[in-house]
Amino acid sequence: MKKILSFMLMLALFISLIPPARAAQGDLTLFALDPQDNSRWEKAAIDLAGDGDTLYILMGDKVYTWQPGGEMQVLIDGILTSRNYYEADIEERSGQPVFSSLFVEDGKITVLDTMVGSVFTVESIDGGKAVCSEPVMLEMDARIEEEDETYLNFQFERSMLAGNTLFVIGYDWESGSGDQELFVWDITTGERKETSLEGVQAMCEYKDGKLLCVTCDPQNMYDSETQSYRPWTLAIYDPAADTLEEVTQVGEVRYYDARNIVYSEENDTFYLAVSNKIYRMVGLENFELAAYHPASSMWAEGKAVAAVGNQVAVFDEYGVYVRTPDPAQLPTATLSIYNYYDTPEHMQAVAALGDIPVFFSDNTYFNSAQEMGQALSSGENQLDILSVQLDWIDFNRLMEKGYCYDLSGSEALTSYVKELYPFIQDAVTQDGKLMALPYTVYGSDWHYNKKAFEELNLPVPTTYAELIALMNEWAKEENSENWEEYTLLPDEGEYKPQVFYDFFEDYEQYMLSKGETLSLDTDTFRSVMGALETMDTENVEVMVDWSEVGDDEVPEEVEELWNKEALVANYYSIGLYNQGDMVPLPLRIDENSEHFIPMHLSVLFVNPKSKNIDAAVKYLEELAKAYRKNTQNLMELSPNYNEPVLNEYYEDNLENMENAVARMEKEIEEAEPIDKPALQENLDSYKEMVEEYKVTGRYRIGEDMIELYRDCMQYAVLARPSVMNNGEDDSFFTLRQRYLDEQITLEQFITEGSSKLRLIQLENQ
Amino acid sequence: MFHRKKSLWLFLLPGLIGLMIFYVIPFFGGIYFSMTDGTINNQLVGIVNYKELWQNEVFQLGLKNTLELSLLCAPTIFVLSFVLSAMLRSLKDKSLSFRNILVLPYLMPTSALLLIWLLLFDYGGVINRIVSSMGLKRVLWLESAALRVPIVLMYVWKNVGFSVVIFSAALQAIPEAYYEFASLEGANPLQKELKITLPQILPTAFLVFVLAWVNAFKIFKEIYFIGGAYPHDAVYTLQHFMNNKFAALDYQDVTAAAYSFAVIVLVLFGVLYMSRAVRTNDV
Repeated sequence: MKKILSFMLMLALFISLIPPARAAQGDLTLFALDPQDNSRWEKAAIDLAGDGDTLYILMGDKVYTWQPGGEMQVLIDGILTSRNYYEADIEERSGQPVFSSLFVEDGKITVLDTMVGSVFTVESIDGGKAVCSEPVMLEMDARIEEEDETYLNFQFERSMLAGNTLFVIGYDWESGSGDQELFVWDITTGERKETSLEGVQAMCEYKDGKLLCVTCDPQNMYDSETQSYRPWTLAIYDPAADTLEEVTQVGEVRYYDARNIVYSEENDTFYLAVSNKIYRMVGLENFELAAYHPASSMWAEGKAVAAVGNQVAVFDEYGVYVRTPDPAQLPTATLSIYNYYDTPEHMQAVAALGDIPVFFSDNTYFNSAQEMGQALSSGENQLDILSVQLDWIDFNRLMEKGYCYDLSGSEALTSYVKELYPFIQDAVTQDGKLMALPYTVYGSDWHYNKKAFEELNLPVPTTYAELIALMNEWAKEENSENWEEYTLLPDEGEYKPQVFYDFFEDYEQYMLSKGETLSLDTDTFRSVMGALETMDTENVEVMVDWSEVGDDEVPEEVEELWNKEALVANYYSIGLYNQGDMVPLPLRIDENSEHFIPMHLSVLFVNPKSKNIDAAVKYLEELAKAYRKNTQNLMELSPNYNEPVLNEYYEDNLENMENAVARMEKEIEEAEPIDKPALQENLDSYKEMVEEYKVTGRYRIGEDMIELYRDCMQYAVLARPSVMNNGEDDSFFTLRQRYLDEQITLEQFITEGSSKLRLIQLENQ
Repeated sequence: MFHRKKSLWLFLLPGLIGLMIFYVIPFFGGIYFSMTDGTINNQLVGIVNYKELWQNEVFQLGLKNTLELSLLCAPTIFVLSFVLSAMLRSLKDKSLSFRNILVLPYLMPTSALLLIWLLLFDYGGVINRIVSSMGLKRVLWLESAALRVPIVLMYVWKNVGFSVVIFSAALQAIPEAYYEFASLEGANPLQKELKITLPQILPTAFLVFVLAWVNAFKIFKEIYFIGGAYPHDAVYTLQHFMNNKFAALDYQDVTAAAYSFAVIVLVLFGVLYMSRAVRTNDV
């Protein structure tokens, strides 16, 4: 008997020592939206408020309540919020209370209306309908009152209410400094109060009438020596004495993330909710990680975090999450991802992983494959999954050195990758093994204004020499009649350097794609550079000395330039989206070269030294499954999907446009005779736009767009890391600049440049 | 005796521990690194890295340039510093100010000196203006093989003063009586230099030559400041190779190159030392 009891005691002790693999008790997702639902923004949570054991959630057009162990209940229904405000007609919404942020104390609900800048209370709730008090207008210069409605030129970032004092961190775009400021009001009178506080990022109620603040020195946030942001300071603010007492520094937080804080007097615990994590300080001591959550971007005009009993609630555009912050109950298995972001696909994958928290490692940055490999090899950073763009990082080197886990064993991943373009498959495969999951691709190349070219009967260039000839021709005086309406390139400045830099980049990518030894000493390079040396577009260039222009000023000639249509441009991307009249122009290096378009591919791979390989692979599998539902993404990566995609907003947009036409017609009827011609002209132009929309707006991705994209993709090559612009060495930059400044001749440039290239390439063999 | 020995080790211990941690262990650690493959599992591959390194054209170029530059700079400094020291000796009391002027470049930061050199040798700089005025074509001093000229000139100018100080001290130590006796015996100045001065300063001369040569091996930062990580072929040194490999975190190649070079230097100085030892025995 004794032995049995001893054994059971030992077993119990042993079990109690095993760290929990599952989430803490009480952790739950209170509400989740379908990440693929494009209308989720209207349905997502807007604000939270905690009052004892009750959580208040402002979401959609309702206010919900929730208590631990219970279900969400609708408290108030059918309200106007800052999300659905503009869906209502002007007449409907004028004068109506708008619920933007809630503050609840002992059941009394106070509401901040950020549309007009007022505060009111909910006096009673009758059958789910709120009966509200008269609003108290806050004293603001940023309030613009027009005939039909009032609006604010003010941006609310975070708000909190302490007693009858409202603290708002925001931007006054009307009369403020342009920087983020702290504004304080007495909500009983609306009177603005002065404060000496500066650099406040977030505030919450503390105890004894005091407040907790997270502050910084806004002029001194970045430490250039350590190349990182300085930690925030947690301080206690006494409003009565207007004094600030520093408590401690808050570390491990990204500079823009220290904005969601709350204090629970019941537990004497301060909580800071950042992307995917909740930190706590019990008794304002010992800053420690206490919980994980799925929200990556938490933003609210009021608060995105609230304390409910001994739990904390946070929200983002995908859902509302409740956590029990307790370091002892932190799960042991987590997934850390480098250089990725909270896409809908990511949220689906996270949901499928269940209890394994996933967070982004954003305090890390790798300049090269070697740096990344070194970090992976040493085990620092503890990264499980990494995202890289293959023209920034030498992914081949990572694969060769064994820094990528072999994903060939996953049927879900291999079958997904097999459907993609061959050049994409090759990029992530080594010796027949799958090493990474491609998730996005886009091209970058010259574009030309097809409509303008047809109107002006201009020849479409197919090589760089032809492009330069076109530019020279355009800049001749005899073509000046067209300069009024069109510009050659959309930007100010000299054109020769712009063309030169683009050609240089394209030349390198072309040679790399052919597997040829990179050298400037080729006939191809010489012929194009020879043409470039004849370039003379001074007549049409707009030159500005920006050092003489004020910060917010734009010179008149530049504004004129921006109002013109560009004939060609070098910064458009190639993908399945509408670029208006601009159409891809895949230039050949010369008449003997082939067309090519460098495509920038991003992939995710698993660290073979990850402690959670199975979870990491499962995450990628769920991600691939989610990406299959992202039609546009799939069509860009794979040649097999060519069905046009309807525009889900077509009907709504058309209805809005037709309503706008009706309003404009009514306006014309009521207008003065002298105003009617101008209004009629506007209406006619708008009607043309509506007719055009009926044809072009039906599909988000139409047949024409798909055909154009497929035409471009036949020239697609993988963009590779630049040898000449690797960021580690600026000797090429200096050489190019000396050539452009005419300090060295073309031959000298070619000789010196080729010599450098030869050194770089031989060194890395 | 035993007691003394025990306390001796006690006093030496901190230094020995430091030596172990900062020199011995990293030294052998580096050898280990140079024999791994640089993959995630860092497996031993023997001398494969060394074989590949010695077959690398760029490593060979860097090594060749380093040796050439050192053979150009070291003898130049040696001869020039000796001549200057001899001239300063003849000035006697007035030599101090001139010696100080010669040492000044040695004390200045290299980056400050380089600014002067960049102004002088820029394409539109003073030197090219002089060249143009002589009817010759301007030279790309900073971007072409001609970069060797300003590099060597700057290196010699910066370091000759230090060697002059050492030589001056050695020359001053030679008793005047030897020269007086030689004069009485009818020796001419050249004979005095060859038969009295040179043998007396031989140990110092050896030291100056060794120092000049060791420092010449380390010519890098001057070229790096002017030409970047990939300067012209003519001035690409072994340090560039190692620096670029280090920046690329290719530690295997860095360590293999470093140990290869260390062996070469060891052999060269071994030969020098042995030849000096033989000479000394002859004397």
